[in-house]
Amino acid sequence: QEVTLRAVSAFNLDTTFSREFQAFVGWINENGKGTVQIDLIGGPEAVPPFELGNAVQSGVVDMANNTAAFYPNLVPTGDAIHLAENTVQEQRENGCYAVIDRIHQEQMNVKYLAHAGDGIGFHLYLTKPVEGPDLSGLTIRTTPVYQAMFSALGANLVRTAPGEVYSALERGAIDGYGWPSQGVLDLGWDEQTKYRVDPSFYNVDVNLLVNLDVWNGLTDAQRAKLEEGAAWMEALNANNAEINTAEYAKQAEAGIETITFDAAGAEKWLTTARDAGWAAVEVVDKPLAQELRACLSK
Amino acid sequence: MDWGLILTVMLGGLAVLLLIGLPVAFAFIVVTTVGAYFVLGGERGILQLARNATQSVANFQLAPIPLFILMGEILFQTGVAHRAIDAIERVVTRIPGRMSVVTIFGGTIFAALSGSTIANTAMLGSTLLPGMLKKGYHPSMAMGPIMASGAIAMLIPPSALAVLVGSLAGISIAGLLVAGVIPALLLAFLFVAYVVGRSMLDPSVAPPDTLEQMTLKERWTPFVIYVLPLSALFAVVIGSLLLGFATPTESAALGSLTAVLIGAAYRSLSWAKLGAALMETLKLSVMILFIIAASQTFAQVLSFSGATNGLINMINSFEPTPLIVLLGIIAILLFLGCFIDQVSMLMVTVPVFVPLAKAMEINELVLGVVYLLTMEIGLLTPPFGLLLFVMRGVAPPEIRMRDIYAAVSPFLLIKLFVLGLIVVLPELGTWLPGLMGR
Amino acid sequence: MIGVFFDRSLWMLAALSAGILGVIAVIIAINVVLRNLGLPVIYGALDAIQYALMIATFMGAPWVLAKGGHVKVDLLTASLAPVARARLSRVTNLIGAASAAVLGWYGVQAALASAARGSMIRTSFVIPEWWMLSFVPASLILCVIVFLRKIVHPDVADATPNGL
Ligand code: NA
Ligand code: NA
Repeated sequence: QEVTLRAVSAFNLDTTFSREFQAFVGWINENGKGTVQIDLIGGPEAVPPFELGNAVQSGVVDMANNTAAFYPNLVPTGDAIHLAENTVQEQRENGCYAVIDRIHQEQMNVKYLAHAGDGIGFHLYLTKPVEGPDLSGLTIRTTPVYQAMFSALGANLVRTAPGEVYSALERGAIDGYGWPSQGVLDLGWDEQTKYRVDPSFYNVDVNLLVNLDVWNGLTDAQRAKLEEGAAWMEALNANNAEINTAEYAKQAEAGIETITFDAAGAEKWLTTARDAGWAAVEVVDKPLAQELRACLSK
Repeated sequence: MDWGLILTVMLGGLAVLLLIGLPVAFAFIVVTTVGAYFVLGGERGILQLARNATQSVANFQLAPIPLFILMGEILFQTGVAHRAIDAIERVVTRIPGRMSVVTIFGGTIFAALSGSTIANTAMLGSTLLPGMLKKGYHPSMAMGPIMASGAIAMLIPPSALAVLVGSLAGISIAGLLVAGVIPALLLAFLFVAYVVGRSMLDPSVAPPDTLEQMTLKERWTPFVIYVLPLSALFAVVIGSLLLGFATPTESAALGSLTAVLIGAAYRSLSWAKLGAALMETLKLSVMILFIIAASQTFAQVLSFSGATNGLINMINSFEPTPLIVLLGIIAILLFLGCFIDQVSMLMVTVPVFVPLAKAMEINELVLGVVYLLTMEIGLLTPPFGLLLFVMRGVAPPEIRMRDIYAAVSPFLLIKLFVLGLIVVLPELGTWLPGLMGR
Repeated sequence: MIGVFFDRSLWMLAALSAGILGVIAVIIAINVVLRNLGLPVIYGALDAIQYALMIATFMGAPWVLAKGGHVKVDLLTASLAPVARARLSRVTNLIGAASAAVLGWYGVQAALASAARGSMIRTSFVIPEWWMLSFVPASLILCVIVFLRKIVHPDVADATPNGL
């Protein structure tokens, strides 16, 4: 029989971080006729992003496109996912996917169905140049994703509401912000950005979650179809290298120059990112952090 | 459930509850709770609603609302605003509908000092309305200009809502702040033209008053003492924005502290007055933020039900020229503005309208100004218009809501006219920002 | 007696909320000054202010309701005869009490569920989520009492809104 799942994205539809998810919805609705269909309800206008985790946990929505940074109240070790250095395909091979799926099932009552964002790294974007991996004297807008790393590099951290970032950059209230390699132009922040610091660090995590009771209530055929779609969507991650190149070109066109650290600088940059990131996860749950670090590292 | 049915039930229920006099925020709570039960899936939907309500006002972008209100309240409680209005009144002479003209001048000046249409309207209403009614002004000539020019605060920087539009819609904030200036001045000019014209045609609506004989010095000295120093506040708020050492929220905070300093400089400040200003700020802020909490969750449920998209898709199905799309956007915004608050109007429509406008190559500043003007009109359209309620709050008890609706309607027509002018002549919005140069 | 104590409590919550708004202005201004002097700013200010706005809104709401300060539309009610108006006002107050009670009840459930799960808010500080989830139901429960009192003592309910 056919079942229809109600899905919501934590990100505005037709923007970067809903892209793979919307492709997945299209694929399922095309290939799942008679088995499973998805009713894409909308984005943050339907469910507030920080409440989407709770909504999929309780079954208000059946499926959510969400990033772990939006549901730390439910899965506090979710920050580990963006620290991964391998792909989700590799994680499915080495058993790490099963661990992450298990903690989502236990702590959040959701099936961790699929993962997008591999290959989309994070960058520091600036309005003034830096020489090396030393951020002292710079005021940087952070979210919990960058907090540990930028703090370890000596930055003066501020939290800025998303809607204020543009004017904060314009007014010099902040000297920069952390953001993924894609999506800066979605927000119009490129107008106020002069530099992007390379290399990128971490990986965006955009996770497709299904309410566990709904998942368990599906037939084998329905689950198989969703997993087939998940694998198809995860294969799209391979396109990110190409998309990044196009995005960097667009950023350059918008006047954003690239600051590339030398080998030693890049090494320090990435090591600090990694160590500070994992230290923050260890504070929450040390044994789990160590288990995850072992299977998420190269 | 069918979205058309949900839309009808929720909007219809809201209209009935508002009509029987339930406080607006609770009317939203009733229909949203019932809607959440059916749309979000029973009890868990209402649980989610309770959580969403917590999130809805825990939003830094709403901080300028109490701060800009506080700024106005301090000027008001310390008597600084009253003396400024009195001083303006002295220098405006020999013009038909004099007090209405004073209202519009005062409203436009305070629009540049306050980012809150509510504080602006409340201040104008409490300082000018009693005197105008006593002088025999027709209520429509008294209340209409107050609400109409009070609303201009949204178009002239500092404007919390312009910032919100810019950031949510991804439009240059500085550009949008500047884009509102010419339409605002045009509105003020047309308001003056209207009140002068109407008073000349029918002097009974604005009885000419006999002014005391004063020397030029007597006439202008209060202006120099009580109005010119306010440019310091103007300098702090707009200066900190333009010279670039503060974000809009920060300039709001600096503005309210400067208002405290100004009150102190006039030796009009006391702990009691500061306390009163804070309590009045709380009353107005709670009133607005509580409605925002209730109506944001309302908008979420409406959007979740598919009603929002259904409505927009229905309009889209009649397109596609850019002009028709722009008119469709305006029609939807005006319609929504009748029922929901400005923040919810934005939240509900931006995800659809911004990409739509981009695809249609509609100028982003034109879209931004259209948003500002329709939101401003929404402040004044029944049944749900925040400024109408503010007017109700400051007007004497014998004034009925229908008098207030009647008073504002000619000014609504002027605003619609300017909105139409923007569609025909987009340069009204785009010309000034174009001069800034990036 | 109890009525006076209740009113005093509502006023104190409101005064606290008003104080919060004043503190928000001061903290933001301090951060501007610190930043322009090149000093580190108060880091958690954004998150603290977001929650402070929520707390002030919901803790101030019952007092505003008791003062008759929440906006209403009197399009119909103003044209009714006093007896009919009093009757209708009893009905609206009952609807208000019921709606606040229902949402307040589920708000309590949401806070309890969050506490049982041990959910923490993790922004620039880490605090139990149920602390923040408690303000909405607490506010609504106080509103229920205010609405019920307006049914019992309609004279309180008729106070005209003023002083905006
Ligand atoms: Na303004
Ligand atoms: Na309206």
